[in-house]
Amino acid sequence: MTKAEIIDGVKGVIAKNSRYTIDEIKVTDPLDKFITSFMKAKLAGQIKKKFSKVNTTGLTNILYESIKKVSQLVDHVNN
Amino acid sequence: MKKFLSILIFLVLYKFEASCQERLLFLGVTKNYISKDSTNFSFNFDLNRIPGGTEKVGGTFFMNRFINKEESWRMYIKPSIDVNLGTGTTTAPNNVNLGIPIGFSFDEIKLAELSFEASPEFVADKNFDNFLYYGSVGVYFKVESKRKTLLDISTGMTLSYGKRSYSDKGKQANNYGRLAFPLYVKFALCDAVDKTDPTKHYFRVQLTNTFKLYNVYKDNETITPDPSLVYNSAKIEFYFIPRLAISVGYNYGYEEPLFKKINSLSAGLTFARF
Repeated sequence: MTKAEIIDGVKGVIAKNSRYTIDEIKVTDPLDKFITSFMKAKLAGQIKKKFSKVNTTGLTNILYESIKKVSQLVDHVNN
Repeated sequence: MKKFLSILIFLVLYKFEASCQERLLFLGVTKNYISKDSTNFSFNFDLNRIPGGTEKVGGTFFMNRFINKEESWRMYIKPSIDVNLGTGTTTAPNNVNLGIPIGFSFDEIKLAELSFEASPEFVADKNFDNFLYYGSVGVYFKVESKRKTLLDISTGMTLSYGKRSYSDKGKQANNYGRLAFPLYVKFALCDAVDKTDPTKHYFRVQLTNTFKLYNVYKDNETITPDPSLVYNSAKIEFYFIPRLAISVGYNYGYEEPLFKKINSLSAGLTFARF
């Protein structure tokens, strides 16, 4: 997968699980603009559905620990 | 037992910076409306467990992964802790709750989550003199709507059964059972962020309310003469910088394990994080 495809995929998952459209989501935006800690465990699962290689448990913990921006989520999926 | 629990609490609190818990410390003045009218300076430590929520507290999710081929059901295991300690006996519930929820969550509802949980739980007063340990099963439904404003709602039902016990060996333990209906609401608006760094919020107004309706169907009647009890905690917070808010709160009702009546109005500073 290319980086651009990953970015589109992550934005798509966020859009599907928030009240924003894909066009309104920028990689420089903070993640909690769209989804708060209330729903991050669910978001990790939805990311896993789109990107099968992601470890849901690991991503869940990192979402709570350190991922603040959409770009950081993209980087985690890309690695 | 007390020493072990104290060490466990210390280790958890030591890691609280890594937590996604929102409200941590409250420092202010509390006016009590119990028996005699009194005003106290109060310091409350509050790691607030949202009913049905799975916050991270000083540790990790042991598990959070799909369990079916369609990837519509997740199973999670995550330790949880709720600590509410105050300097006054009626300014805070003064309890420590530990649990290890094991849950199954259905994720196919947009902006919402339906969870079924089972958990061993331990609830003690702040001196660990009077404590409850029980098994709970429950169902929770939560919704998040966030755009210019934020609205989080979580509600559900839990059934618990176990024992009430005491550190004083002279007191006899008794069976304890209760049904609980929690309702949690958080509403936030005016969420202004720093334009040079959007991860930094510099103004936010947040209103949270936690309501619990208890039906204690089995217990020591001297502690719970009335099986139907309610507890409500409401707070409004004004954040001018990300981790510090001016807050006003009102607590009323009865909470585990002692079910002592709380009726207090508080105002002061809340140290937290989003």
